[in-house]
Amino acid sequence: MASPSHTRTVTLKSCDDVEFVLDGSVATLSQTLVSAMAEDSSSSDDGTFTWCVSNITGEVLAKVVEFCNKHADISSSRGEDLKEWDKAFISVELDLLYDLILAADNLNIESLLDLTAQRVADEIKGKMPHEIRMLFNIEKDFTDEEEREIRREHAWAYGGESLKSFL
Amino acid sequence: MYVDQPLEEDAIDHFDRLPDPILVSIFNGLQDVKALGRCCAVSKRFRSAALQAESVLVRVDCVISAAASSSSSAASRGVLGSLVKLLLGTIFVRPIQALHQILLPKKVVLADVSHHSPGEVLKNFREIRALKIVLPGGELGIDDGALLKWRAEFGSSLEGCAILGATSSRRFDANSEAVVDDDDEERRFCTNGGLKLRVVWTITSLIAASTRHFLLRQIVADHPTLRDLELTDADEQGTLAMGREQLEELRRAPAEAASATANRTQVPALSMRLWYAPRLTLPSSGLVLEGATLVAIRPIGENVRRVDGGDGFLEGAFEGEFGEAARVMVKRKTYLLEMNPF
Repeated sequence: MASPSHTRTVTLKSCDDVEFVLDGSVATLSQTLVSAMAEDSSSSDDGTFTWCVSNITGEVLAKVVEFCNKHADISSSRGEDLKEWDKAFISVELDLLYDLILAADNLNIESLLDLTAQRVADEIKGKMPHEIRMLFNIEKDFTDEEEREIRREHAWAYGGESLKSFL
Repeated sequence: MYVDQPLEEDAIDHFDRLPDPILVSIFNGLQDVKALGRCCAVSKRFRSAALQAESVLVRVDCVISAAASSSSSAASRGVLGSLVKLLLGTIFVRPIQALHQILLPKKVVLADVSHHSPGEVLKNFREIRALKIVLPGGELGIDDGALLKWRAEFGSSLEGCAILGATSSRRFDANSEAVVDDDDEERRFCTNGGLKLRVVWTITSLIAASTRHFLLRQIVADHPTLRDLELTDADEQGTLAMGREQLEELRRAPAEAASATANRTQVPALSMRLWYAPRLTLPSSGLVLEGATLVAIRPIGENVRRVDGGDGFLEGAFEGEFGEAARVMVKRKTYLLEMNPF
């Protein structure tokens, strides 16, 4: 059975009332929209569907729509080019990055969740615990003694300690 | 660029806004076990999410040759004399002195630091589904310019192995390529020691694979959530892979499948198919392999069709240009061999 989403356009509305019109095929990247449209299909016959995204501003939603349009365009979604495009797309300030993660989670867009999560992971890689706390404004909720104990337990994670294997 | 910013009093902890499953998916993207270990010391929430990582990569810094005692090397040498039964009938492989040296792991000088085994490092990670362990290098010493790659799949014992080797591997140079008389070279293959050398490659690869498999038993037992396990090396020489069903089979299997004396898993009776090309030139990648050899190995009694590579095992065993080499090789003449358990 053909999905009704392919034949419709979708209007996304941000929490600050900015509207974006998406092609139905672009909207299928979002599992949230797919489910919502499936539930709604009986009531709408004019071929449009409007979805209000709470907690996501127009600025962030514009980025999400940009991402979906690029990834739904099959002619451009090929290998290295798309990787390069993703890399440029995700080179944003951390504040916007968190908003994108939340938007990807809210709209359930798997490829955007993967991309944003990987960007955060890349920030963490190679940093020491205090640097990670500083970068993300994370409060240390360990006592000094607890932290020493944890660092002892994972001593192999710090410089000068090797992972060995018998062969 | 962010590190130098002072921690502001009213700054928001952005991670507070992210739900736990997202935190876990971030740590899945981290993979590297050392980075995960450092995250454990950031905060309680980080610690709990980092230890739930489902995808973990362990890079081993050095390999300690504790097993390279006289007993194991003597055992491997003795093995050679008795295990090979070649269907071709004319060739006997004798113990080869060089094998002793090939098998000895590269000596490692240990600095005065603490050491931790992969099993110990992984013990607090209870949700691992996909684990990749990378050794610092391949175990088999090969000549400069030579090529030796193997991929083995194991359950409780060897299920299949593909080996790609060449006496030399280089890029195609149109100006200096001489024409080789293929037929003549190929006729000499069985009598000039070429086949014997291939059997040595095969046995050393299998010994390396079964030694790696033996080391993984404890990790497999300790991590029941594991579904996908790969033990490879930074040289990309050998890859041991185990999938979900194979891991379950190993957990169910009694421990005696391993031969305790050799510190490796026993290799069952094998049937082998071997393809040989005196010179293989791959037009699309420009790779030239001299004395190219492909070996497909299955335990005897397994579905014979699979030895032919009919299930895609051979085609998928090597990546990129080496995969291309394997696909070209299987169209050539096949040599059949059998091997006793060792």
